[in-house]
Formats: sequence, structure tokens, C-alpha cells
Amino acid sequence: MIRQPSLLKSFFFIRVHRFKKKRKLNKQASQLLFDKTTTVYLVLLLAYTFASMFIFSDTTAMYKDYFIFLEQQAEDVIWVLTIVLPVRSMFHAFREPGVLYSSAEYQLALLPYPRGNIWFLTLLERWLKRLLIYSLIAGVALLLTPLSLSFILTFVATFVMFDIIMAIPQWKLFQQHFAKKMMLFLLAVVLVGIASLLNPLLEPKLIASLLISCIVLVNLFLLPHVFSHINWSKVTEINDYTIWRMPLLAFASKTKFKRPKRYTLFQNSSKNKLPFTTEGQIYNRLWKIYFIKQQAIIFRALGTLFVLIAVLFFVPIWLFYIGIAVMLYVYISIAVSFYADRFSNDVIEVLPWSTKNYANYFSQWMRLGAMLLFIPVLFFYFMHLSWWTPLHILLFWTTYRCVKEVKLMKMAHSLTRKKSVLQVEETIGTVAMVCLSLSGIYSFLTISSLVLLFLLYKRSSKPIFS
Amino acid sequence: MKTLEVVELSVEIDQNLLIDHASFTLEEGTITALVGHNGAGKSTLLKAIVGMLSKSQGKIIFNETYHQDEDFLTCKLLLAYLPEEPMLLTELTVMQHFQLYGMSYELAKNEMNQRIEEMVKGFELSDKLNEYPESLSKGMRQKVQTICALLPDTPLLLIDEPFMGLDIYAIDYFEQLMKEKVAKGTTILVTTHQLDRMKGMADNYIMLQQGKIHSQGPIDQFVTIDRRMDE
Repeated sequence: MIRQPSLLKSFFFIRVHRFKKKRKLNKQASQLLFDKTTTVYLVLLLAYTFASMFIFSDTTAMYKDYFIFLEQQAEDVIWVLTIVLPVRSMFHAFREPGVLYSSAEYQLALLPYPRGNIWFLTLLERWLKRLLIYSLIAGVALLLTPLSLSFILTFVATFVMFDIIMAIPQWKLFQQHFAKKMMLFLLAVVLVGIASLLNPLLEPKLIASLLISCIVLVNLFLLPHVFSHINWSKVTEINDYTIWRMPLLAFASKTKFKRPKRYTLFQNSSKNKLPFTTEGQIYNRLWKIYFIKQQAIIFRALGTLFVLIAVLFFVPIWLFYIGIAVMLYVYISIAVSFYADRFSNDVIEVLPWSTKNYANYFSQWMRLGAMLLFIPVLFFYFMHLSWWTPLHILLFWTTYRCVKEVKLMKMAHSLTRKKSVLQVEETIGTVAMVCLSLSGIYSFLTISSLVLLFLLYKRSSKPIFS
Repeated sequence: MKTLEVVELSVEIDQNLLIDHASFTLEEGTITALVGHNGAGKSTLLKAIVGMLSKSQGKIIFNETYHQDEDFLTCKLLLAYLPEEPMLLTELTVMQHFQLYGMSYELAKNEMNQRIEEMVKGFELSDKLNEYPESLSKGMRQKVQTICALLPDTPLLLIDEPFMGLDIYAIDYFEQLMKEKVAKGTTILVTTHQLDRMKGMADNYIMLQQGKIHSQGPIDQFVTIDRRMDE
């Protein structure tokens, strides 16, 4: 008889070594970030703060009424949780399968171990970890708040139950195509809406029981198909990223953990598979590829600038104009740094570049961002409508053009390691910025936009990007 | 004519000297094998010539005229680089990669299409033109990257481990293409561990040991690679 190897032994062997490796990396990162003396003082400070809040003073007593109210509303809160937790799991299914089945488990399955058992062990591990976290939180809550044990246990039990009964639905939903996933998610939201409407008519307990029964039925239906139509590559890809994304290490090494994307939006369209017919298509595609990779930073940058503009609506008018000049300058600087970064990414790094062509196509995308930022600015201009308004608008755009061109040109020179002599252009850009900043106080400065327009027209016959 | 002249080149990363005062020249229409143990600095040297890595010291001169520090873009146009690992974009199909290379090296459309047709046939990729890299095997991806690098007629061709992952038919075809390139005047600098194969093709060799040029000369004087550490 052939002796079966122990899965548990191998499973824990991987876990122990994963833990050791992560601990070693975190230790190295923390040694780099903190020195021992600071850490000791920091721990003492935190301990003192904690003690002063909860032990020496009577912080919990201050919120006693609130906790009593919360406990009285327990049934309603649990009811809300009952409808929120399944939707939360479905929402998570857009990004993660819920079972940390990484490439390590995948490779373990290539050895003589049943895949189903490995998968279940991984799931069990997740449930136990969650239970431990909930228990810790419950312990702290029990220690520091006047909440009763039964109330806290009900909460923990609800969370644990939904972790268990939503595991398979989330796993299967993750595998679905985006459109199907979205449809099912919206359906769930609609059902939750209906359940909420029924709340005054039916007992919350009854609705909750119905909902849980439905989920259990879904589980029973899905259980035999738990390993059919599984995109293992996608599952292991996201789980490897989740396991090895270590924020402390990323902070210490100043690197960003990126999820490797083997499948992109472009591959969903058969149109994108056709050969290019013009050079413009190639440049535009290259920029699109880059922007999609940098989308998080782009959204953050644009979002920050929008917040800046929103804040400017609440300051004196003259300050608004200084603000938009700053915003415009920051926007152009960020955009130009993206332009430069393009050439140190992927295969483009090793190819010869036409910095002019890359800049021309990049300018079109830059204009799009500038137009987005201009919408609230335009709104402001119309709120303070005057005879000068058309010139204010013209000054905004001529300044944008002048500064953008000179900054792009400087960057292009730096990329090609050429010495740049653009003193005249830089001076014009600076003057334009000053005029834009002060145009809120001295409206006549907007007349400079006509001079800038003339200069841009003259330059169009002899572009600086040649 | 000297297609490439490397003078006292040093490359340093995080205070580690990866290339240490390397000097050599490559004559027009020759093949030079860059050999050495693992970690000797072969790929680093190629990357510094391409401009992917900044040098801390030295000069890199192309066609006896163009200095990398002063004419960076012109220098890039004068070389094609075939990396060890394919650098293909997930978002572009095989054909779109060829078009990207064609555009970057300003190849005429007809000429480019003719070369693509020939090489795609030679590397047996005719049915894969509209496929994304993920649907190709590792060897096929290497073939795509090889065609990309061979599309332009540059004076200098840098090849990092040319035969990795290729089947014997593809290797034979690749060798034939390299010989055709050399006959047209292209200079090739190639790193490889397949010494027997290169001995039959290369004119010269450069041996690196821990970032330093240990020896160089005609290939028939080459004996074997030294170990990583001197015993």
C-alpha cells in the first residue's frame, strides 16, 4: 500500500516559512525606519495616553449613555448587519476571491495532495484568523465599554456566520465576467432595498432568517461546482499580491507594491487586436497603456487639484486667481513628469523616441485634463461676470499653452540629454503666470492674453518643438 | 570603421561597482561574443550601452562620431537591443509590436511589411500576428522580441542570450539572419553561455569577470570561461 503524505504537515511548513520570511522582511524594514530609543519612548507615550484615557480618567463613562442606547437598538443593528454583510462580500468579489489560494497553494496541489483539501484548509485558516481578530476586538470592547457579553457575542457570531456562508458565493462570483458580476451585485442591492421596504411590515427576524436561508441554499447549489470554471491564474495573481503586499516594507524601501496585471481592458475588444493604420493610433495607444497603469496617481492628483479649486470658492476673489495660477502650474508640472516617466517604462525605454511626436499626442491628453479642471474655474468666472470675463478665459488658456510648451520642451531636452536654452520662452511663461495670478486684483492685466495669443500665433509658424 | 567604442566605462549602482573601467572597440561587420560567468556584468554592460543604466564614468561612442552623452537620441537610433527576457506589452498584439518598432526606427511601411512577412514565416509565427503575448508560449514570445530587434537595419545590434527558449529550427534561422546582418555591415555584440555555437560564428570575444574585462581578442584565442571567483 502506498503511504499518503501528510497535507497538514506540508501546509504548515509553507505557512511557517511564509511567516518567517515576512517577519524577517518587516524586521529589516523596521530597523531601517525606527531606532530603539525612539521606539521605547513612543511605546511609553502610547501606553501613557491609553492609561490616561481609559484608566485614570473616566472616558468610557462619558459615552455610557451612547453604549446603552446602542445595546437597546441591538436588534435593529443586527438586522442592518444581516443585509449589509452579504452585499459587502459581493462587493469584495470585484477585487478578491475571498480564499487566499496563492501560487504556493497552487504548486502544492501539483504535489500528491488533493486540491479540494488545500482549498478548504486555506479557507479554514482565514475563518480562524478572522475569529481571532473578532475575539480580540470583542475582548477590548468588553474590557473598556459597558456593553454586555451577550451583545458582543451576538455581533461576533453574526460576523463569523456571514464569513462562513458568504465564502463560496464570493469565490464563485469573483470568477464571473465583470458585466455578470455587476448585474448580480445590482440585483442584490435591489433585493436589499425590497427587504428594507418590507421591514415595517414583516418581523426583522423573519426577513433575516429568509435571507440566511436563501444564502445557505445558494451555497448548497454552488458547492458541487466550487472548482469548475475557475480562473486559477487570476486567483493566484491577486492572492500573491495580497499576501506579499507589505506596507511597512513598501514605506521603508520607497517602492510601491503593484498588482501584476496579466489581463487588461484592451484585451476585451477585438477592435484593439487589429493592426494600426496610422502612427497616431500607435502613440495614442501607448499613452492610454501608460495612463491605465498610472490611473491611481492620476486620479489622486486630479482629485487633489479639484479639492484645491473647491476650497478656492470660499476665499476672497483676488486669492482665487492666485489659486488657479498655482493649480495650473502644479497641473502642468505633474503632467510633464508623467511625460518624462513614459520613457523609462516598459519596452519604450529601449526604443528610439521622437520626443516631439510623443509630446504632440501627450498634449492632447493634457488638454483633456486641463479642460476638466477648467470647468469649475469657468463656473467661477460666470459667477463674477464682467466685461473682462472673456479676457480672463483667454488668459487662462494662453498661460496654459505657454507654460506647457516650455516645460514640455525643457523635459524633452533633458530626456535627450541636450542643453536647453529657452530663456525667452521661460520668461514669457513666468510673466503669463504673474499676470494670471494678479488678474483678480488688476483686471487690465488680462489684456496680456492678447499679447500671449499673438506670440503663440507667431510661434505656430516656428514651433519651439522642432 | 569602429561601430562602437567604449572607453573606461564604469557603472555603479548603490555604491556597487558593476562595470569597472571597461574599454573595447567593435569594428564594422563583426560579431563579438561577450562571455563570462553568471553575474559578471554582461547584461549590465549591454544596458549601459543602450542607455537604460547611467554610467558613472567613461565614454560610449557610436560610429566614431556620436557620443552617448551628447547625442543620446541619435545613438539610440543606431542600435537595436534584444533583451534576455522579452519586454512585450500586454496591451499590444504581435503585429502591433512590429508596427511600434517600425515607427520608432522610422522604417518605410513597404519595407517593414516585407521584412515582417519574411521573418514571421521564418520563425513560424504567421498565425499568431493578432495574438496578445499571454497567448504565446515563452519561445514564441522570444521569437516576437527577436523579430522586433531585427526589423531595423541599425549599425549595431546588441543581443542578450540569443538562443534562450528557441527551438532548433528557430536557432538555425536566427543564425542565418545574424549572418545576413553582418554581411550588410551590422556589428553584433552578443552575450551567451552557448560557447560552442558562438565559436563558429563570432570573430572576437570579450571576457568579463566581476565587472572587469579579463581578456579580449580573436575568438580562436578563446579557451574557456574563468570561474566566478579566482581560486
